[in-house]
Amino acid sequence: MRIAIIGAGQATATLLQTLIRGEFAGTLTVFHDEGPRPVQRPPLSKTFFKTKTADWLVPDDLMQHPQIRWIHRTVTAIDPDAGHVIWDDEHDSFDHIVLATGTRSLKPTIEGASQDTCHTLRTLADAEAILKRITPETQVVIQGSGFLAFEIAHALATTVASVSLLLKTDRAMPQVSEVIATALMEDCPATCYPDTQIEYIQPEMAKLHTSKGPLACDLIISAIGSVPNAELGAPWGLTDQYGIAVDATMQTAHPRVSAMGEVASFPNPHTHRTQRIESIAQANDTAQVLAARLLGNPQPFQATPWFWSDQGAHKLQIAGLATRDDQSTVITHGDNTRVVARHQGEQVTAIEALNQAREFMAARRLFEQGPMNLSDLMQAGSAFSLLQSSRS
Amino acid sequence: MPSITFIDPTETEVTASFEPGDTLLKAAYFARVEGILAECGGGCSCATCHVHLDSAWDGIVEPPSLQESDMLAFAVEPTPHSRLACQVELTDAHDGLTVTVAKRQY
Ligand SMILES: Cc1cc2nc3c(=O)[nH]c(=O)nc-3n(C[C@H](O)[C@H](O)[C@H](O)COP(=O)(O)OP(=O)(O)OC[C@H]3O[C@@H](n4cnc5c(N)ncnc54)[C@H](O)[C@@H]3O)c2cc1C
Ligand code: FES
Repeated sequence: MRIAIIGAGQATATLLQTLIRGEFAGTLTVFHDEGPRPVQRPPLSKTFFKTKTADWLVPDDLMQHPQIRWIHRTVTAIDPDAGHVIWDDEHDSFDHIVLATGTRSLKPTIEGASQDTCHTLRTLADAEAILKRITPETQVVIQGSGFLAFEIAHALATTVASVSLLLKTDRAMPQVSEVIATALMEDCPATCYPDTQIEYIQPEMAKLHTSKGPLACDLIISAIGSVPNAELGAPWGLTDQYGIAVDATMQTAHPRVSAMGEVASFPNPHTHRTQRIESIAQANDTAQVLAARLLGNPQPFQATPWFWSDQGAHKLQIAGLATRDDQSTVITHGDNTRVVARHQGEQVTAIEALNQAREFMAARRLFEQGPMNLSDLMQAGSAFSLLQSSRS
Repeated sequence: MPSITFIDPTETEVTASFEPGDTLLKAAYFARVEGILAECGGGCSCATCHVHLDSAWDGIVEPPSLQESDMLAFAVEPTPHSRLACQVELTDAHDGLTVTVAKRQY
């Protein structure tokens, strides 16, 4: 079997390792277009600006493996009926095509901005471009309200002169409960401006004009979300409103095409919603499911989502996945720790643990065992106690 | 270059060289040691890089942080010598030592 894999991010790294370990018998051709060799993304917003080094995503022997061919090119089209993958003026044919194209940063259009002043952060090249432009005198403005914006604020705070954070609304990190977001905001080294929109920039005067007035600014980093790279599937009707639509085994509507990672959209068994999920766990778990199918042992996707974010000295870990409207109930509240249950009525959808790894891990185990009930959790007092009582 | 010997879950010995300052995970990853999943890529968030150090490591390795101990408590059959490979930083003092990869990460 000849398989083409388009994109070489987290999901592809896991797919390759799992297939090779599983003694996959065919050949794997990987098309990738992001620098000579794939790197891990999470450190780019956490440690890169201090360490100035990136970690390779794929070990040497897989870069040189006899069953794996690496083609450093952007794929421009696919023809699933013919099994064709098309790039530049070339094409090759395959028995199966895997779309692992991930997402790209959403780029705002800011009046007056040039390439030098306006950045996003997704790739090593993005991180290097920012690094090249910052000095201890640089006044950085970050646009965004999510985890990425806050991680970057922490990562740059000690390296540059000032960091301002422009929040779209009055709410930071709308993905998590207000209790956790407030705790993280209080310790954020940036000056936060809620409800603030960018109007235009005057780079020659190092000034950014916003809906709340002018701000000193040499460099903008926008962390306002991402767009799925789903274009290759669209002409073949393989997309839905979120990304590339797949079933619980990562199969698209075309028998020759699968998708995985954060471009793949499917009904999530934990949230009961069709969605794409942007996380390392999702990339790994979907790749495992696809690998099992390609190795002849199909299993439906069953994993519980989980996520983490490092913000300075704080570690936020989330087991499960809540929607923004889910209710929040504080389970424990310590000096620098918080544990919050997100729930829809009695049904717990996520446990958010700030500097409380034990609760995060206990919650993951509990979700693996089955649905979690809010009153049981409240009665036990913690996810850890609930797990212990469930085991005794 | 200094090196570490890993004993993987099939009892196979794999020798991995390292640069001081590398983590045990990095050394294991590039030597393709079997049995370490490292789902979070070294973020101290998944506990799937569980290894056992032997007593030769006593006193020459920083003890685990609270975060790491909390994570380790949920690894499969942790022992007092359990560590997360991504949290152990290697120095020249570790040259020639041995690490046993946990039999199972789940
Ligand atoms: C800075 C940063 C920090 C993060 N931190 C965390 C974190 O702490 N925790 C967490 O859980 N998640 C984190 N994430 C999210 C996580 O990294 C992603 O969800 C994950 O990498 C998705 O993996 P993927 O394989 O689906 O896609 P990607 O890693 O995006 O890989 C897709 C690849 O496909 C390539 N590609 C696309 N189209 C084509 C084409 N036509 N031809 C050839 N190649 C193509 C792209 O260039 C890209 O290299 C972070 C993301 C970023 C950007
Ligand atoms: S790699 Fe995830 S905890 Fe070590």
